Amino acid sequence: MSRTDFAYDPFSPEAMSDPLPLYKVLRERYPAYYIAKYDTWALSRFADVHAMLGDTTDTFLSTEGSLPGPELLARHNPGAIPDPPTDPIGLHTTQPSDVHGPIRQAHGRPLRPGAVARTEDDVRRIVTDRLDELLPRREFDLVQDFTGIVAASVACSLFRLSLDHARTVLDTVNLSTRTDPVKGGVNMKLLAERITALIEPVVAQRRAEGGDGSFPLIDGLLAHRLDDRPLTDHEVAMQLVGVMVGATETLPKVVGHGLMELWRRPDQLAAVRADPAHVPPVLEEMFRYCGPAQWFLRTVRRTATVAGQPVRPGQRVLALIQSANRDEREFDAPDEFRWNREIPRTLAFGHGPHFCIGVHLARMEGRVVLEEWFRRVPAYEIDVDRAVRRDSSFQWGWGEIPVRVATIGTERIP
Amino acid sequence: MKVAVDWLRCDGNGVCAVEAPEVFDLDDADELIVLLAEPPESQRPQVEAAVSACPKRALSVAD
Repeated sequence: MSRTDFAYDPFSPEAMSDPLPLYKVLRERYPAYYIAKYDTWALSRFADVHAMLGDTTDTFLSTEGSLPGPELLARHNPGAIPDPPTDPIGLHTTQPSDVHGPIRQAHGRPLRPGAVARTEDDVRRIVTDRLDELLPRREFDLVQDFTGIVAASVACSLFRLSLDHARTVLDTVNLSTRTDPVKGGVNMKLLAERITALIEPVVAQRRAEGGDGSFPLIDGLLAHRLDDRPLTDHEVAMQLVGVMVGATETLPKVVGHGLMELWRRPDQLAAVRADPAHVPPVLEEMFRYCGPAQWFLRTVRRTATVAGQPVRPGQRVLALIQSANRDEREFDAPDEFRWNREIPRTLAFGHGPHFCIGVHLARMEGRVVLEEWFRRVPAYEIDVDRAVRRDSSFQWGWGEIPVRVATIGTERIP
Repeated sequence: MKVAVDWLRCDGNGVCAVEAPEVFDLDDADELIVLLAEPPESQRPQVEAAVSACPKRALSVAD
């Protein structure tokens, strides 16, 4: 493509079916690329994305949400936009740090590293129970039947929901984060409605029981005071939408896709299998190479500079995470999957104020899933022709990966 | 050298305790503990690594 006919729009059919070649051009030629119709600057290089997301001065905020659709972005802001209302409060992630920080801390305790480590046995039981059920079938879907159900079950246990809800949680989250194939955006209002409907009864029940701190995910928010008032059940549920979606949505696609990449590279698969100590590094490479979440948006509050480009209040900056993860300036041969790659710093979980609150859970759960998979499955084969990566402006990941497995005792793939 | 923690930002991720274990630690409740609020100059490389590795950008150093 020539210099003049290049165009990048995250909601174009081209970007939604395969954004990677576009990212390459952006990184090479347009480190700050202006999308006129959205009044948005797209950042594609690792260092620029890292610097912008790492802002601690509330210069770049998620006031308009981190995943606005094209209709919202087509409306340009004449200047800085005010903070969203706090009564009632919507998603806390859209608030400046003095409101956002304390709400994040009020529910983040069960996701801290020690608290997560104490749940490893429970997660391993979920994984082995699931494998007990699936492996005798010999053919199933790696994402829909295995990693997706595991992640949704772990999400259910975080919320103390019966594991019988796992399929509903998985289907609801997948349905809600799917982007409109024509218009391109995620319907955030519908997503919030569907997810809060799952969470709100848990909150109401806990309030009735009295939150004594032993269920920190909910109790912290029940005790939280915003402008000297408690949050309603619905407001508490809203603050937890990100945890429910985050715990369910991403890891299944990362690990499913990662197992597909390993299957394509028998030498790497053998190397990883050879030693359980090789699981954490291959998982990090899966997070880098297979991450489905493409970007996060920020709205500029104050005059600033990104990638050498001045930006003015009211404009938007698009952080292209998956472009950063493929940046040649940061990683050697970034389009290659290498299980033992050196990854000194990562943007797979974002960076800065909105850094993934579930990072420790994702790493532990991913490791346990892989450990148990390698322990129980001596060989597997992916039906790549039937694997599905749905076009998307946002969650561009492998959502369906049919697999056939050999099992211990029957070491032949059907 | 003085270490400062923005407690509004700290998530207790513990990345700093890996980079500079003589300066930072996490307690049993995953709460950050600053072991040395004014670490010796010899700790500067580790402290600077901790500051830059913190995913929440919660740490800073004053000379």
